[in-house]
Amino acid sequence: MRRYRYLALAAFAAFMFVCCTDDSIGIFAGLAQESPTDDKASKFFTDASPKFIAQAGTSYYAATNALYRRPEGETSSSAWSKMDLPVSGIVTAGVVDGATLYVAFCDSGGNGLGVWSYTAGTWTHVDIGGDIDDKQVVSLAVANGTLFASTIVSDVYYLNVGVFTATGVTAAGGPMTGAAYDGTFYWIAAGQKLYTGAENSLVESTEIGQPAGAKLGGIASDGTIVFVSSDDGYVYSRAVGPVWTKSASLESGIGAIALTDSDDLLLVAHPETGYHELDVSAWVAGKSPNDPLTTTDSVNYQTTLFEKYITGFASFVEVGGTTRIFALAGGDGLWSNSFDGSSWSTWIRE
Amino acid sequence: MRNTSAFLVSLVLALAVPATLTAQEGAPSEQPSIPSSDQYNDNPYEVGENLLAFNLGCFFPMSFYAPTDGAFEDTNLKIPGAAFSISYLRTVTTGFAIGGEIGGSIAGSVALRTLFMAPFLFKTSWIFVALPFEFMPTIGAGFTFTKLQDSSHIDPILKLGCSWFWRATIDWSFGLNTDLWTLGQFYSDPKQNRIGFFGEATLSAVYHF
Repeated sequence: MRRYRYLALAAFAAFMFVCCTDDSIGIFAGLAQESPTDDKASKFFTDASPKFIAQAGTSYYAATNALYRRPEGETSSSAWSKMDLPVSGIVTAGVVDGATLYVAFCDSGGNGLGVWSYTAGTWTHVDIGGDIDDKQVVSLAVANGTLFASTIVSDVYYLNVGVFTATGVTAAGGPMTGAAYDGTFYWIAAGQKLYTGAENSLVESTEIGQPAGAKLGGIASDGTIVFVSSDDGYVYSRAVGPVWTKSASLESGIGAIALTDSDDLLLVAHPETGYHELDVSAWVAGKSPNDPLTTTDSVNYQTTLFEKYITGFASFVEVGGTTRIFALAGGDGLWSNSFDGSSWSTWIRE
Repeated sequence: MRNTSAFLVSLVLALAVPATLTAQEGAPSEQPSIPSSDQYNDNPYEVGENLLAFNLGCFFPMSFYAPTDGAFEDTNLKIPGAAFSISYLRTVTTGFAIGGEIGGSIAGSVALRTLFMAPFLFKTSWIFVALPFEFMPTIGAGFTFTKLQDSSHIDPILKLGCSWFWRATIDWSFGLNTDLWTLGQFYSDPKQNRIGFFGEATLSAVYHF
């Protein structure tokens, strides 16, 4: 009988051990630190996969299949409003260059309806009848004031005085994921390849140490240093001169990246786990990521972007000097977080 | 909305099942009637009586206490949550019963997480009778399996409560439970320790056998 009692005690102790996780944050303690994440959420982005977020003037623009706008200073759940489109179709890509919003559209059959610009409340069809006017544009990017457009067959064009002109990038093997400028040359990431050069004569880069052999997730630049994330799990950095170094391994599958506007923090998305932060203020080879605890705290991260499929990041500075970063989550809406100069507000759903 | 629907369906089932059991035992004319009060002694619960209770209702997160800060904190859990339990009691002396309870409670947080707690309790109850009403103060102690997102923990729990019943038939009572839960949640980092306070109000159906 006594043996059974001991067995029962052992079983109970094993149950306690298996069921308990002595986390760094207690369950009740974590609950006490929670803040509402959905109080200001717009119905437009519920379960949506945002295609882009951009800032022009004092307004933000974001798109799912439709296009939405909200003033910078308004953050209520009704702040976002749906915009009238210049054509009957869906949004495929968008970006801002200066004060001009560029948006690409296609019809339900995937046929291109052109790239349109929106300035001061007026839509203008860009390069009517041009080379890409009837092609589906799947990606738009701006670097150094130059607009790049990638078609569904991975041909990349740039806007040259109102005319979309070939860059030299054709059939890149994947759509352009971004564009950057290092002070001298442009850089385009598309598929598994990096292209560089002047905007009208981009060629495939073959520099030593550059990312190769894996899909490129994103590209960013502070104006001098170029950062590229690769599906192999590393972030590559190119300082002045053709010298590439890579971070410590983050995790395979990393994707979109963005520099925060203070240019010292690189956000690196991962389609399954959320995101990493890399302090790039003092880049060294083998740089290790932080937990994403600069831009948020553990509880907020766990209740927002943790394990979300982040497809894109963007960072903007508002009129009052506040930095606002956005995360686009596939099937899980649009999120934002702001830095007022001293602390981050934590992530909330837009 | 889905949670509300599930709660209502569960409530209907909880009340319907005991009623069905009663109906199956015989025609209404064959149902023993409740003895009048003069047929009972002061307390009709003699040694060996069994009570099986089905409880379903609302759960009210109240507060957390942080011992290291000496301060109470908001739980950030939405009110009400849902609670359910099944308990068994057996009278060991007249008007005094011991037994156990298993149950669960669910509450959503402001950040859209769901807290689930499943208490396993040893219970003692004192039974007072003024037919057709019965009144049962109860003390329960045990442990609770607590889960939130990917975190789980086993916590000691003390549950104080009282039940008010209307004796509908010789076999069944129906009424209301009200309970106060106190949980201690302890970690290797003392800053994470919390004492949790919760309330529970459930409708109850008790089968006597």
